[in-house]
Amino acid sequence: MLLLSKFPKPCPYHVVEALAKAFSCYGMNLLKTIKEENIELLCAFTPKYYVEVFAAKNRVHELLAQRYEVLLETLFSAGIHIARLTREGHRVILLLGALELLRGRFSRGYVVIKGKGVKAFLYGRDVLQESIECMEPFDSSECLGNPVLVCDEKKEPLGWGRVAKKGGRLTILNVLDLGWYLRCGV
Amino acid sequence: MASHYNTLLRLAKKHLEVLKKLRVAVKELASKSELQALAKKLGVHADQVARYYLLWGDEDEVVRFFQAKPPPKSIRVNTLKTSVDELVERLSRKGVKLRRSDLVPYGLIVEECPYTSLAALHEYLKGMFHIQGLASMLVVPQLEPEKAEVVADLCCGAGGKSTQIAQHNPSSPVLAMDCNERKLLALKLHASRLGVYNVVAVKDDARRVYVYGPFDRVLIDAPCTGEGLRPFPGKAKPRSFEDVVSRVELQVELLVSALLALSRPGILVYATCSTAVEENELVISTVLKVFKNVEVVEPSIPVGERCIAEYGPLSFEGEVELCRRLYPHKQGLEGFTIYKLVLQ
Repeated sequence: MLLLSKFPKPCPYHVVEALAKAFSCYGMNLLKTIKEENIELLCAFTPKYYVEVFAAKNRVHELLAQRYEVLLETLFSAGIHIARLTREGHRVILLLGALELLRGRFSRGYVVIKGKGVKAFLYGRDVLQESIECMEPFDSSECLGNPVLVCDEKKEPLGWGRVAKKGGRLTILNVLDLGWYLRCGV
Repeated sequence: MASHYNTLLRLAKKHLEVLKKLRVAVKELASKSELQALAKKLGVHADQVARYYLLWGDEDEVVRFFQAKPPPKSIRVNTLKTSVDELVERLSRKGVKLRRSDLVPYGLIVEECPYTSLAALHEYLKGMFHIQGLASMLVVPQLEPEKAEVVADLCCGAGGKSTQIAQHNPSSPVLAMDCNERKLLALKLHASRLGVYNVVAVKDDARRVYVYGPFDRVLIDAPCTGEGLRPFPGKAKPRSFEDVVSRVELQVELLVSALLALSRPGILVYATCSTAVEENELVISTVLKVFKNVEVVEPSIPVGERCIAEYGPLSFEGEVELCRRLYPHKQGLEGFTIYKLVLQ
Protein backbone atom coordinates (compact mmCIF):
# COMPACT_ATOMS: atom_id res chain seq x y z
CA MET A 1 0.00 0.00 0.00
CA LEU A 2 1.94 2.20 1.60
CA LEU A 3 2.43 5.84 1.02
CA LEU A 4 -0.99 7.31 0.27
CA SER A 5 -0.99 8.57 -3.25
CA LYS A 6 -3.69 11.08 -2.52
CA PHE A 7 -3.72 13.04 0.69
CA PRO A 8 -6.43 11.95 3.13
CA LYS A 9 -9.22 14.48 3.41
CA PRO A 10 -12.67 14.37 4.97
CA CYS A 11 -14.64 11.72 3.14
CA PRO A 12 -17.15 12.84 0.55
CA TYR A 13 -20.82 12.36 1.28
CA HIS A 14 -21.37 9.27 -0.86
CA VAL A 15 -18.55 7.44 0.95
CA VAL A 16 -19.85 8.39 4.40
CA GLU A 17 -23.31 7.28 3.33
CA ALA A 18 -22.03 3.92 2.11
CA LEU A 19 -20.08 3.40 5.34
CA ALA A 20 -23.03 4.41 7.52
CA LYS A 21 -25.17 1.89 5.65
CA ALA A 22 -22.57 -0.84 6.16
CA PHE A 23 -22.26 -0.14 9.88
CA SER A 24 -26.02 0.05 10.32
CA CYS A 25 -26.18 -3.60 9.29
CA TYR A 26 -24.59 -4.34 12.66
CA GLY A 27 -26.95 -2.02 14.53
CA MET A 28 -24.46 0.80 14.88
CA ASN A 29 -25.15 4.44 14.07
CA LEU A 30 -21.86 5.52 12.56
CA LEU A 31 -22.59 9.23 12.40
CA LYS A 32 -23.63 9.34 16.05
CA THR A 33 -20.56 7.38 17.09
CA ILE A 34 -18.03 9.53 15.27
CA LYS A 35 -19.65 12.65 16.68
CA GLU A 36 -19.51 11.25 20.23
CA GLU A 37 -15.90 10.20 19.83
CA ASN A 38 -14.75 13.41 18.07
CA ILE A 39 -13.64 11.37 15.10
CA GLU A 40 -13.35 12.42 11.49
CA LEU A 41 -13.49 9.99 8.59
CA LEU A 42 -10.64 10.67 6.20
CA CYS A 43 -10.47 9.30 2.67
CA ALA A 44 -7.40 8.72 0.56
CA PHE A 45 -7.87 7.82 -3.08
CA THR A 46 -5.42 5.19 -4.30
CA PRO A 47 -4.29 5.00 -7.93
CA LYS A 48 -6.59 2.09 -8.69
CA TYR A 49 -10.25 2.20 -7.93
CA TYR A 50 -10.25 2.08 -4.17
CA VAL A 51 -10.79 4.58 -1.42
CA GLU A 52 -8.96 3.94 1.82
CA VAL A 53 -10.87 5.18 4.86
CA PHE A 54 -9.22 6.20 8.10
CA ALA A 55 -10.85 7.16 11.38
CA ALA A 56 -8.86 9.80 13.20
CA LYS A 57 -9.47 12.31 15.94
CA ASN A 58 -10.74 15.71 14.79
CA ARG A 59 -7.52 17.38 15.83
CA VAL A 60 -5.56 15.03 13.61
CA HIS A 61 -7.55 16.29 10.67
CA GLU A 62 -6.81 19.86 11.73
CA LEU A 63 -3.09 19.08 11.89
CA LEU A 64 -3.13 17.48 8.46
CA ALA A 65 -4.92 20.51 7.03
CA GLN A 66 -2.53 22.98 8.66
CA ARG A 67 0.65 21.12 7.65
CA TYR A 68 -0.61 19.84 4.34
CA GLU A 69 2.34 20.94 2.23
CA VAL A 70 5.02 19.33 4.37
CA LEU A 71 3.04 16.13 4.88
CA LEU A 72 1.92 15.72 1.27
CA GLU A 73 4.77 13.46 0.18
CA THR A 74 5.59 11.78 3.46
CA LEU A 75 2.30 10.95 5.20
CA PHE A 76 2.07 7.20 5.77
CA SER A 77 -1.11 6.77 7.77
CA ALA A 78 -3.44 8.67 10.09
CA GLY A 79 -5.53 7.19 12.88
CA ILE A 80 -7.02 3.75 12.26
CA HIS A 81 -7.54 2.23 8.83
CA ILE A 82 -11.14 1.06 9.06
CA ALA A 83 -12.37 0.34 5.56
CA ARG A 84 -11.78 0.18 1.86
CA LEU A 85 -14.39 1.03 -0.73
CA THR A 86 -14.67 1.06 -4.47
CA ARG A 87 -14.68 4.67 -5.59
CA GLU A 88 -18.36 4.64 -6.38
CA GLY A 89 -19.00 3.31 -2.89
CA HIS A 90 -20.73 0.23 -4.19
CA ARG A 91 -18.65 -2.24 -2.29
CA VAL A 92 -17.53 -1.65 1.29
CA ILE A 93 -14.83 -3.82 2.84
CA LEU A 94 -14.69 -3.39 6.59
CA LEU A 95 -11.21 -4.05 7.98
CA LEU A 96 -9.92 -5.08 11.41
CA GLY A 97 -9.80 -1.41 12.38
CA ALA A 98 -13.59 -1.24 11.99
CA LEU A 99 -13.94 -3.72 14.86
CA GLU A 100 -12.64 -0.99 17.13
CA LEU A 101 -15.54 1.28 16.26
CA LEU A 102 -18.03 -1.56 16.57
CA ARG A 103 -16.78 -2.75 19.97
CA GLY A 104 -19.67 -2.50 22.43
CA ARG A 105 -21.98 -0.99 19.78
CA PHE A 106 -23.23 -3.89 17.65
CA SER A 107 -26.57 -5.61 18.12
CA ARG A 108 -27.08 -7.76 15.02
CA GLY A 109 -25.19 -9.40 12.18
CA TYR A 110 -22.91 -11.23 14.56
CA VAL A 111 -22.07 -14.75 15.67
CA VAL A 112 -20.76 -15.76 19.08
CA ILE A 113 -18.20 -18.54 19.08
CA LYS A 114 -16.79 -20.41 22.04
CA GLY A 115 -14.13 -22.79 23.27
CA LYS A 116 -11.79 -24.30 20.69
CA GLY A 117 -13.56 -22.37 17.99
CA VAL A 118 -12.09 -19.11 19.27
CA LYS A 119 -8.57 -20.47 19.07
CA ALA A 120 -9.17 -21.94 15.64
CA PHE A 121 -10.66 -18.72 14.34
CA LEU A 122 -7.76 -16.64 15.64
CA TYR A 123 -5.41 -19.03 13.86
CA GLY A 124 -7.10 -18.16 10.60
CA ARG A 125 -9.30 -21.24 10.43
CA ASP A 126 -13.00 -21.78 9.98
CA VAL A 127 -15.28 -22.45 12.92
CA LEU A 128 -17.37 -25.61 13.11
CA GLN A 129 -20.96 -25.82 14.26
CA GLU A 130 -20.14 -27.19 17.72
CA SER A 131 -18.23 -24.01 18.51
CA ILE A 132 -21.05 -21.69 17.54
CA GLU A 133 -22.83 -20.42 20.65
CA CYS A 134 -25.46 -18.28 18.99
CA MET A 135 -26.15 -16.00 16.07
CA GLU A 136 -28.00 -12.75 15.66
CA PRO A 137 -28.86 -12.33 11.98
CA PHE A 138 -29.00 -9.18 9.89
CA ASP A 139 -32.42 -7.61 9.85
CA SER A 140 -32.29 -6.42 6.27
CA SER A 141 -31.83 -8.35 3.07
CA GLU A 142 -29.54 -5.56 1.88
CA CYS A 143 -27.02 -6.63 4.50
CA LEU A 144 -26.89 -10.26 3.47
CA GLY A 145 -23.82 -9.71 1.30
CA ASN A 146 -21.84 -8.42 4.32
CA PRO A 147 -19.63 -10.63 6.46
CA VAL A 148 -20.82 -11.40 9.98
CA LEU A 149 -19.00 -9.98 12.95
CA VAL A 150 -17.42 -12.86 14.85
CA CYS A 151 -17.07 -12.38 18.59
CA ASP A 152 -16.39 -14.46 21.68
CA GLU A 153 -18.65 -15.13 24.64
CA LYS A 154 -17.69 -11.78 26.15
CA LYS A 155 -19.02 -10.17 22.94
CA GLU A 156 -15.54 -8.94 22.15
CA PRO A 157 -14.93 -8.77 18.39
CA LEU A 158 -12.52 -11.30 16.94
CA GLY A 159 -12.93 -10.66 13.23
CA TRP A 160 -15.12 -11.15 10.19
CA GLY A 161 -16.65 -14.33 8.85
CA ARG A 162 -19.20 -15.78 6.45
CA VAL A 163 -21.91 -18.20 7.38
CA ALA A 164 -21.91 -21.30 5.23
CA LYS A 165 -23.10 -24.85 5.22
CA LYS A 166 -20.41 -27.48 4.81
CA GLY A 167 -21.48 -31.10 4.66
CA GLY A 168 -24.90 -30.10 5.99
CA ARG A 169 -23.40 -28.40 9.05
CA LEU A 170 -23.21 -24.74 9.84
CA THR A 171 -19.70 -23.30 9.49
CA ILE A 172 -18.26 -19.85 9.96
CA LEU A 173 -15.74 -19.29 7.20
CA ASN A 174 -12.87 -17.13 8.29
CA VAL A 175 -12.61 -13.89 6.30
CA LEU A 176 -10.31 -11.86 8.55
CA ASP A 177 -9.36 -12.31 12.20
CA LEU A 178 -7.31 -10.54 14.88
CA GLY A 179 -4.62 -13.22 14.58
CA TRP A 180 -3.66 -11.56 11.34
CA TYR A 181 -1.86 -8.92 13.41
CA LEU A 182 0.70 -11.63 14.20
CA ARG A 183 0.56 -13.69 11.02
CA CYS A 184 1.12 -10.75 8.69
CA GLY A 185 4.80 -10.96 9.61
CA VAL A 186 5.44 -7.27 10.09
CA MET B 1 15.16 27.27 8.65
CA ALA B 2 17.45 24.81 6.87
CA SER B 3 20.36 27.25 6.92
CA HIS B 4 19.75 27.96 10.62
CA TYR B 5 19.79 24.21 11.26
CA ASN B 6 23.02 23.79 9.32
CA THR B 7 24.66 26.68 11.16
CA LEU B 8 23.73 25.31 14.56
CA LEU B 9 24.87 21.87 13.54
CA ARG B 10 28.22 23.13 12.36
CA LEU B 11 28.73 24.92 15.67
CA ALA B 12 27.66 21.90 17.67
CA LYS B 13 29.84 19.44 15.80
CA LYS B 14 32.93 21.48 16.57
CA HIS B 15 32.43 20.46 20.20
CA LEU B 16 32.61 16.81 19.20
CA GLU B 17 36.34 17.25 18.66
CA VAL B 18 36.68 16.07 22.27
CA LEU B 19 36.02 12.58 21.01
CA LYS B 20 39.60 12.48 19.79
CA LYS B 21 40.87 13.01 23.34
CA LEU B 22 38.47 10.40 24.61
CA ARG B 23 39.53 7.90 21.99
CA VAL B 24 43.15 8.22 23.06
CA ALA B 25 42.21 7.63 26.69
CA VAL B 26 40.02 4.62 25.86
CA LYS B 27 42.55 2.98 23.54
CA GLU B 28 45.32 3.49 26.06
CA LEU B 29 43.29 1.84 28.78
CA ALA B 30 42.11 -0.91 26.45
CA SER B 31 45.69 -1.84 25.58
CA LYS B 32 46.44 -2.83 29.20
CA SER B 33 46.86 -6.56 29.53
CA GLU B 34 44.56 -6.94 32.55
CA LEU B 35 41.70 -5.21 30.75
CA GLN B 36 42.30 -7.21 27.62
CA ALA B 37 42.15 -10.41 29.67
CA LEU B 38 38.94 -9.25 31.31
CA ALA B 39 37.42 -8.40 27.93
CA LYS B 40 38.27 -11.85 26.63
CA LYS B 41 36.74 -13.46 29.71
CA LEU B 42 33.56 -11.42 29.32
CA GLY B 43 33.36 -11.93 25.56
CA VAL B 44 33.37 -8.21 24.80
CA HIS B 45 35.60 -5.74 23.00
CA ALA B 46 38.48 -4.35 25.07
CA ASP B 47 37.25 -0.81 24.25
CA GLN B 48 33.98 -1.58 26.01
CA VAL B 49 35.69 -2.75 29.17
CA ALA B 50 37.90 0.36 29.03
CA ARG B 51 34.93 2.68 28.65
CA TYR B 52 33.03 1.24 31.56
CA TYR B 53 36.17 1.17 33.65
CA LEU B 54 36.50 4.90 32.89
CA LEU B 55 32.90 5.29 34.02
CA TRP B 56 33.15 3.43 37.33
CA GLY B 57 36.84 2.86 38.08
CA ASP B 58 35.84 -0.46 39.58
CA GLU B 59 36.53 -3.77 37.83
CA ASP B 60 33.88 -5.62 39.85
CA GLU B 61 31.23 -3.16 38.75
CA VAL B 62 32.30 -3.61 35.15
CA VAL B 63 31.97 -7.39 35.49
CA ARG B 64 28.53 -7.07 37.10
CA PHE B 65 27.37 -4.86 34.24
CA PHE B 66 28.52 -7.21 31.50
CA GLN B 67 27.20 -10.29 33.26
CA ALA B 68 23.81 -8.84 34.17
CA LYS B 69 20.82 -11.10 33.68
CA PRO B 70 17.98 -9.95 31.46
CA PRO B 71 15.27 -8.06 33.35
CA PRO B 72 11.88 -9.78 33.64
CA LYS B 73 9.39 -9.37 30.82
CA SER B 74 6.79 -6.72 31.28
CA ILE B 75 3.64 -5.48 29.61
CA ARG B 76 1.90 -2.15 29.41
CA VAL B 77 -1.83 -2.26 30.09
CA ASN B 78 -3.70 -0.38 27.39
CA THR B 79 -5.89 1.77 29.60
CA LEU B 80 -7.83 2.93 26.52
CA LYS B 81 -9.46 -0.50 26.44
CA THR B 82 -9.20 -2.04 29.88
CA SER B 83 -8.07 -1.49 33.44
CA VAL B 84 -5.05 -2.93 35.22
CA ASP B 85 -7.33 -4.88 37.59
CA GLU B 86 -9.36 -6.37 34.79
CA LEU B 87 -6.36 -7.45 32.79
CA VAL B 88 -4.65 -8.98 35.82
CA GLU B 89 -7.79 -10.96 36.55
CA ARG B 90 -8.18 -12.17 32.98
CA LEU B 91 -4.59 -13.19 32.54
CA SER B 92 -4.38 -14.78 35.99
CA ARG B 93 -7.23 -17.08 35.00
CA LYS B 94 -5.08 -18.20 32.10
CA GLY B 95 -2.17 -19.04 34.39
CA VAL B 96 -0.11 -15.90 33.76
CA LYS B 97 1.47 -14.66 36.99
CA LEU B 98 1.75 -10.90 37.10
CA ARG B 99 3.10 -8.38 39.57
CA ARG B 100 2.22 -4.70 39.51
CA SER B 101 5.10 -2.33 38.91
CA ASP B 102 5.95 0.26 41.58
CA LEU B 103 7.27 2.55 38.89
CA VAL B 104 4.52 2.68 36.29
CA PRO B 105 0.82 2.48 37.25
CA TYR B 106 -0.10 0.56 34.10
CA GLY B 107 3.03 -1.61 34.02
CA LEU B 108 2.87 -5.30 34.88
CA ILE B 109 5.83 -7.57 35.41
CA VAL B 110 5.38 -11.07 34.04
CA GLU B 111 6.67 -13.52 36.61
CA GLU B 112 5.40 -16.63 34.93
CA CYS B 113 3.75 -17.35 31.60
CA PRO B 114 2.71 -20.82 30.45
CA TYR B 115 2.53 -19.67 26.82
CA THR B 116 5.43 -19.58 24.39
CA SER B 117 4.72 -15.97 23.62
CA LEU B 118 2.74 -13.22 25.33
CA ALA B 119 1.59 -12.14 21.89
CA ALA B 120 -0.31 -15.42 21.54
CA LEU B 121 -2.71 -14.34 24.27
CA HIS B 122 -6.12 -13.27 23.00
CA GLU B 123 -5.95 -10.20 25.21
CA TYR B 124 -2.89 -9.09 23.24
CA LEU B 125 -4.68 -9.54 19.93
CA LYS B 126 -7.65 -7.60 21.30
CA GLY B 127 -5.30 -4.73 22.07
CA MET B 128 -5.58 -4.88 25.85
CA PHE B 129 -1.86 -4.72 26.38
CA HIS B 130 1.40 -4.02 24.61
CA ILE B 131 4.69 -5.77 25.27
CA GLN B 132 7.11 -3.14 26.49
CA GLY B 133 10.08 -2.92 28.84
CA LEU B 134 9.55 -1.11 32.13
CA ALA B 135 12.45 1.28 31.62
CA SER B 136 11.03 2.15 28.21
CA MET B 137 7.66 2.91 29.86
CA LEU B 138 9.34 5.45 32.16
CA VAL B 139 10.21 7.75 29.26
CA VAL B 140 6.80 8.95 28.05
CA PRO B 141 5.44 10.37 31.36
CA GLN B 142 8.43 12.76 31.45
CA LEU B 143 6.98 14.41 28.37
CA GLU B 144 3.85 15.41 30.37
CA PRO B 145 1.78 14.39 27.34
CA GLU B 146 -1.59 15.02 29.01
CA LYS B 147 -1.13 18.77 28.58
CA ALA B 148 0.31 18.57 25.07
CA GLU B 149 -1.23 20.19 22.02
CA VAL B 150 0.88 18.45 19.36
CA VAL B 151 3.53 15.81 19.98
CA ALA B 152 6.36 14.58 17.77
CA ASP B 153 7.83 11.14 18.36
CA LEU B 154 11.07 10.85 16.42
CA CYS B 155 12.55 7.53 15.32
CA CYS B 156 9.28 6.04 16.50
CA GLY B 157 9.95 2.51 15.20
CA ALA B 158 6.94 0.24 15.62
CA GLY B 159 5.21 2.83 17.81
CA GLY B 160 5.55 1.53 21.35
CA LYS B 161 6.03 5.01 22.76
CA SER B 162 3.72 6.69 20.22
CA THR B 163 0.85 4.51 21.38
CA GLN B 164 1.85 5.06 25.00
CA ILE B 165 1.64 8.83 24.43
CA ALA B 166 -1.83 8.29 22.95
CA GLN B 167 -2.79 6.39 26.07
CA HIS B 168 -1.97 9.49 28.14
CA ASN B 169 -3.60 11.84 25.67
CA PRO B 170 -6.03 10.22 23.21
CA SER B 171 -6.98 13.49 21.52
CA SER B 172 -3.90 15.54 20.67
CA PRO B 173 -2.16 14.52 17.45
CA VAL B 174 1.05 12.52 17.75
CA LEU B 175 3.28 12.81 14.70
CA ALA B 176 5.35 9.63 14.65
CA MET B 177 8.34 9.80 12.31
CA ASP B 178 10.58 7.05 11.06
CA CYS B 179 12.46 6.41 7.83
CA ASN B 180 11.78 2.67 7.92
CA GLU B 181 8.60 1.78 6.05
CA ARG B 182 8.31 -1.67 7.59
CA LYS B 183 8.36 -0.21 11.08
CA LEU B 184 5.73 2.33 10.12
CA LEU B 185 3.54 -0.48 8.86
CA ALA B 186 3.98 -2.18 12.24
CA LEU B 187 3.04 1.11 13.90
CA LYS B 188 -0.09 1.36 11.77
CA LEU B 189 -1.12 -2.15 12.84
CA HIS B 190 -0.39 -1.48 16.51
CA ALA B 191 -2.48 1.70 16.36
CA SER B 192 -5.34 -0.34 14.94
CA ARG B 193 -4.94 -3.14 17.47
CA LEU B 194 -4.66 -0.76 20.44
CA GLY B 195 -7.51 1.49 19.31
CA VAL B 196 -5.38 4.63 18.91
CA TYR B 197 -7.01 7.31 16.73
CA ASN B 198 -4.55 10.15 17.08
CA VAL B 199 -1.23 8.89 15.76
CA VAL B 200 -0.10 10.19 12.37
CA ALA B 201 2.71 8.15 10.84
CA VAL B 202 5.21 9.98 8.65
CA LYS B 203 7.93 8.38 6.56
CA ASP B 204 10.86 10.74 6.64
CA ASP B 205 14.29 11.27 8.11
CA ALA B 206 13.66 12.52 11.63
CA ARG B 207 16.44 15.06 11.22
CA ARG B 208 13.96 16.97 9.08
CA VAL B 209 11.48 17.36 11.95
CA TYR B 210 12.08 21.12 12.05
CA VAL B 211 10.18 21.28 8.74
CA TYR B 212 7.08 19.77 10.36
CA GLY B 213 6.97 21.86 13.52
CA PRO B 214 6.14 23.50 15.78
CA PHE B 215 5.45 20.97 18.49
CA ASP B 216 5.06 21.63 22.16
CA ARG B 217 6.35 18.15 23.00
CA VAL B 218 9.09 16.20 21.25
CA LEU B 219 10.30 12.74 22.12
CA ILE B 220 13.54 11.37 20.72
CA ASP B 221 14.22 7.71 21.38
CA ALA B 222 17.47 8.06 19.52
CA PRO B 223 19.05 5.33 17.38
CA CYS B 224 21.93 4.06 19.49
CA THR B 225 24.20 1.12 20.16
CA GLY B 226 21.61 -0.40 22.50
CA GLU B 227 24.27 -1.16 25.08
CA GLY B 228 21.60 -1.06 27.77
CA LEU B 229 19.94 -4.06 26.18
CA ARG B 230 23.05 -6.21 26.39
CA PRO B 231 21.55 -8.80 28.77
CA PHE B 232 18.90 -9.76 26.23
CA PRO B 233 19.66 -12.70 23.92
CA GLY B 234 21.26 -11.58 20.68
CA LYS B 235 21.92 -8.03 21.88
CA ALA B 236 25.37 -8.46 23.40
CA LYS B 237 27.53 -7.36 20.49
CA PRO B 238 31.21 -6.56 21.00
CA ARG B 239 31.58 -2.86 20.19
CA SER B 240 34.72 -0.93 19.47
CA PHE B 241 35.01 2.74 20.41
CA GLU B 242 34.49 3.68 16.76
CA ASP B 243 31.30 1.66 16.68
CA VAL B 244 29.93 3.43 19.75
CA VAL B 245 30.69 6.93 18.50
CA SER B 246 29.43 6.23 14.98
CA ARG B 247 25.95 7.29 16.02
CA VAL B 248 26.89 10.36 18.05
CA GLU B 249 26.76 12.73 15.10
CA LEU B 250 23.32 11.47 14.14
CA GLN B 251 22.13 11.90 17.73
CA VAL B 252 23.39 15.49 17.78
CA GLU B 253 21.70 16.18 14.44
CA LEU B 254 18.40 14.78 15.72
CA LEU B 255 18.57 16.81 18.91
CA VAL B 256 19.38 20.07 17.12
CA SER B 257 16.51 19.59 14.67
CA ALA B 258 14.14 18.60 17.47
CA LEU B 259 14.97 21.71 19.50
CA LEU B 260 14.33 23.86 16.43
CA ALA B 261 10.93 22.20 16.06
CA LEU B 262 10.02 22.75 19.70
CA SER B 263 7.76 25.68 20.54
CA ARG B 264 8.12 27.81 23.65
CA PRO B 265 7.45 26.70 26.26
CA GLY B 266 8.07 23.13 25.22
CA ILE B 267 9.36 19.87 26.61
CA LEU B 268 11.78 17.57 24.85
CA VAL B 269 12.68 14.16 26.18
CA TYR B 270 15.85 12.58 24.87
CA ALA B 271 16.20 8.91 25.70
CA THR B 272 18.39 6.04 24.59
CA CYS B 273 18.49 2.37 25.50
CA SER B 274 22.19 2.93 25.96
CA THR B 275 24.38 3.47 29.00
CA ALA B 276 27.20 4.87 26.87
CA VAL B 277 28.27 8.33 28.06
CA GLU B 278 29.24 9.15 24.47
CA GLU B 279 25.61 8.76 23.36
CA ASN B 280 24.06 10.64 26.24
CA GLU B 281 25.98 13.12 28.37
CA LEU B 282 28.28 14.04 25.52
CA VAL B 283 25.37 14.59 23.09
CA ILE B 284 23.41 16.73 25.55
CA SER B 285 26.49 18.70 26.57
CA THR B 286 27.38 19.34 22.92
CA VAL B 287 23.94 20.66 22.04
CA LEU B 288 23.60 22.78 25.18
CA LYS B 289 26.67 24.69 24.04
CA VAL B 290 24.68 26.06 21.07
CA PHE B 291 21.22 26.30 22.63
CA LYS B 292 21.41 28.72 25.52
CA ASN B 293 17.71 28.88 26.34
CA VAL B 294 17.33 25.20 27.13
CA GLU B 295 17.03 24.06 30.72
CA VAL B 296 17.78 20.52 31.82
CA VAL B 297 15.19 19.40 34.33
CA GLU B 298 15.70 16.33 36.46
CA PRO B 299 13.24 13.60 35.42
CA SER B 300 10.78 12.54 38.09
CA ILE B 301 11.84 8.90 38.09
CA PRO B 302 12.27 7.44 41.58
CA VAL B 303 14.94 4.91 40.63
CA GLY B 304 18.28 5.06 38.89
CA GLU B 305 21.21 7.39 39.15
CA ARG B 306 22.07 10.84 37.96
CA CYS B 307 24.28 11.26 34.94
CA ILE B 308 27.99 11.64 34.88
CA ALA B 309 30.00 14.82 35.48
CA GLU B 310 33.41 13.40 34.64
CA TYR B 311 34.37 10.73 32.17
CA GLY B 312 38.03 10.18 31.48
CA PRO B 313 39.40 13.42 30.02
CA LEU B 314 35.90 14.88 29.66
CA SER B 315 33.96 16.92 32.16
CA PHE B 316 30.41 18.16 31.71
CA GLU B 317 28.55 21.22 32.95
CA GLY B 318 26.58 20.71 36.17
CA GLU B 319 23.14 20.51 34.57
CA VAL B 320 24.20 17.60 32.36
CA GLU B 321 24.12 15.46 35.51
CA LEU B 322 20.37 16.00 35.77
CA CYS B 323 19.21 12.86 34.00
CA ARG B 324 18.34 9.31 34.93
CA ARG B 325 20.60 6.39 34.26
CA LEU B 326 19.18 2.91 34.63
CA TYR B 327 21.31 -0.23 34.65
CA PRO B 328 20.33 -3.89 34.31
CA HIS B 329 22.71 -4.93 37.08
CA LYS B 330 21.57 -2.23 39.53
CA GLN B 331 17.89 -1.54 38.99
CA GLY B 332 17.00 -4.81 37.24
CA LEU B 333 15.67 -2.86 34.26
CA GLU B 334 16.85 -2.43 30.68
CA GLY B 335 19.72 0.04 30.54
CA PHE B 336 18.34 3.46 29.65
CA THR B 337 19.37 7.08 29.89
CA ILE B 338 16.63 9.69 30.02
CA TYR B 339 16.95 13.47 29.73
CA LYS B 340 14.20 16.07 30.04
CA LEU B 341 14.86 19.41 28.42
CA VAL B 342 12.61 22.45 28.69
CA LEU B 343 12.73 25.26 26.17
CA GLN B 344 12.04 28.56 27.86
